[in-house]
Amino acid sequence: MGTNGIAIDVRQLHKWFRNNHVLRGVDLKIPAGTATAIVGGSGAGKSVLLKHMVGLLSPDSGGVYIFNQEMPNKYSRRLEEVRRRFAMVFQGSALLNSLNVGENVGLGLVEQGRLSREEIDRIVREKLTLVGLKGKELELPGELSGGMRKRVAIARALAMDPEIILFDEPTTGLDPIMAQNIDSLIADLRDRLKKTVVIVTHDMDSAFEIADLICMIYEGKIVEQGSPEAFCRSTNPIVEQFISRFKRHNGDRGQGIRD
Amino acid sequence: MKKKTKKVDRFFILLGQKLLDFFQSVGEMLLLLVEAVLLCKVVFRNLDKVLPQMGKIGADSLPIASLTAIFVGFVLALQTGVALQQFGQEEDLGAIVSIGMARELGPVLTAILVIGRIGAAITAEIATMSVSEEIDALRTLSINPVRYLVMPRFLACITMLPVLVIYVDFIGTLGGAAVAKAYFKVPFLAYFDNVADYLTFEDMAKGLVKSVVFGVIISIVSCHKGLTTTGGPGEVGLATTNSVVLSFVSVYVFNYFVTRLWLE
Ligand SMILES: Nc1ncnc2c1ncn2[C@@H]1O[C@H](COP(=O)(O)OP(=O)(O)O)[C@@H](O)[C@H]1O
Ligand SMILES: [Mg+2]
Repeated sequence: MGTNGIAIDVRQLHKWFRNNHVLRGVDLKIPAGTATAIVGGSGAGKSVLLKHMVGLLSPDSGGVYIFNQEMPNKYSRRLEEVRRRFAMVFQGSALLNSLNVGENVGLGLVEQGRLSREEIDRIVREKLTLVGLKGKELELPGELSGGMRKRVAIARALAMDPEIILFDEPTTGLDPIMAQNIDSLIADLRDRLKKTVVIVTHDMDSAFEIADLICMIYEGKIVEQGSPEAFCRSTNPIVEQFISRFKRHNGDRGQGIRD
Repeated sequence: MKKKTKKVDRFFILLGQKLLDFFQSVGEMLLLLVEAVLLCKVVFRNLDKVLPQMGKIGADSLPIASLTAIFVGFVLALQTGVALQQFGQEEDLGAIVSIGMARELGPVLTAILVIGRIGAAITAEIATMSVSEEIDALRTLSINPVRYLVMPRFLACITMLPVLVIYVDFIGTLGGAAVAKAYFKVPFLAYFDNVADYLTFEDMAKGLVKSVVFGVIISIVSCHKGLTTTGGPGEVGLATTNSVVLSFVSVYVFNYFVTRLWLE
C-alpha cells in the first residue's frame, strides 16, 4: 500500500462553528490507492472532516493537501480543477429531488458538456447496473427507499470517474445483504480500479472488511490509527470501548479479520 | 451592579454580532449579484434552466396578478372618481388611473406579489437543497450552484417582472375604465383618449426600470437566503420568512429613494 504516495494529507486541522470547536488538530495521511476508514461516535466531526477533504469547508487553521498541493480556498478558480479528482457520497444521499434517477446520475457529465448524450446514457446505465438499480432511470428520488437513494448517490459519484471517492456512511440504513454488496463494490474500486477510498462509518463490520487503515476520531482528534489488526489490538480505552460490541458479536478475533 | 454591567456587555456583544452579520450578508449578496451577472455570458448554454424559470414565474403569478390588478383598478377609479365628480372632472379618470398604475402601483404591487409567490418559493427550494446537502453535492460534481440555480432565477426575475408590470398596468387601467363607465358614465373612448393624452412614455419607462431593480433585489435576496441556510429542515421556514421580510423592506426603501430622486 502507498506505492504512489499520499493522496490526502490533513495537517493540524482546526474547525470552529461559532463556539463549537469541532476539529481540534486533526493529523491524518491517506495513502493513494488504499481504503481508509474513519470511525467515531456520532457528532464526532467525521462529516466535517470529510467536507474539508473536498474543500466544501475551509479550515480555521491547519491545512489539507491533495497530492502535496494545498487545497485552494473557496474563491479560487483552481478549486474546481482539484474537485474534479474527487467524488463524494453524502450521508443523506443528497440527490436532486426535481430530477429523476438517470438525470441525477448523469448530472455531472451533462453539465460538463464533454460527452455525447448517448455516451452519457451508456455510462448512467452501466453505473446503475453496478449498484443493482438497472432500469430505474425514470423513477424519482422521492419514490425510492433510503437504501436505494444511497445506491443512486454511489452511482452518481462513480459516473464522474474520480481518483478519490469519499463515502459518508455508505452502508448506514441498508439491509445487511445490500450493505455487504456495497462493501464489496467499494473494495472492488480499490482493488481493480486502484481508486483511493475514504469511508466514514459506524459499521465496524465494513471497516474491518474493506479498510487498509482505520482511524478513530474522538473529541476532534485522531486518537488511534492503524491496520485493522493493529486497531483491534489497540489498548486505547476509547477504541476498546468503541469496538467492544463488535468483538463480542464476532468473537475476539485479534488476527485474521480479513480472511 | 456588577451583574448589570455584564448584561450591558452582553447586549453590546449581541448588537455587534448582529451588525457584523448584517454587513456580511450585504457583502455576500453583492458578490452573489456580481457573479450572477458575470455568469449571464453563458446564458445560451443554460437556456434549459432559464426558460423554465421564466415560464414558472409567469404562470405562477399571472392569476394573482390579474386579480390584484383589476381590483386595484376598480378601487382606484371609484375613490378618485367620487372626488373628481364634485368638480365635474370625471373624464380625467383615465389619466389618474393609468399614471398611478404605471408610476407606482404597477411596479410595487407586482413586486409584492412576486415576493410572496416566487421569492418565497425560491428561498424554500434552495434552502431545502442546502440543508439536505444538495448544494454541496452540486459543488462536488464541479457544478457551480450560482450558474445552476442563481443565474437562471436572476435572469427570469429581471425579465419577467417588467413583463408582469406591463400586464398589471394594462389590466388595472382596464378595470378603471369599467368603473368609469359603470359609475361615472365616462365612455370607453373618452377614457382611453384621456389616457393617451396624459400618460407619457417616461411614466411607463420609470415604472419598468424600477421593476427591473425589484427583480434584482427579489432574486438575489431569495437565492442568498436559500444558499446560506444551515441546520435542519426546521430552518427552511425561518429562512423563507426572513427572505420575504428582507425583500419587502428592500423594495420599499429602494422605491422611496428612487421616487424622491426622480422628483428632484
Ligand atoms: N454547517 C455547520 N454549522 C454548524 N455546526 C455544524 C455544521 N456542520 C456540523 N456542525 C457541528 O459539528 C459537529 C460534528 O458534526 P458531524 O461532522 O456532522 O458529525 P458526525 O461525526 O456524526 O458526522 C456537530 O456538533 C455539529 O452540530
Ligand atoms: Mg456524519
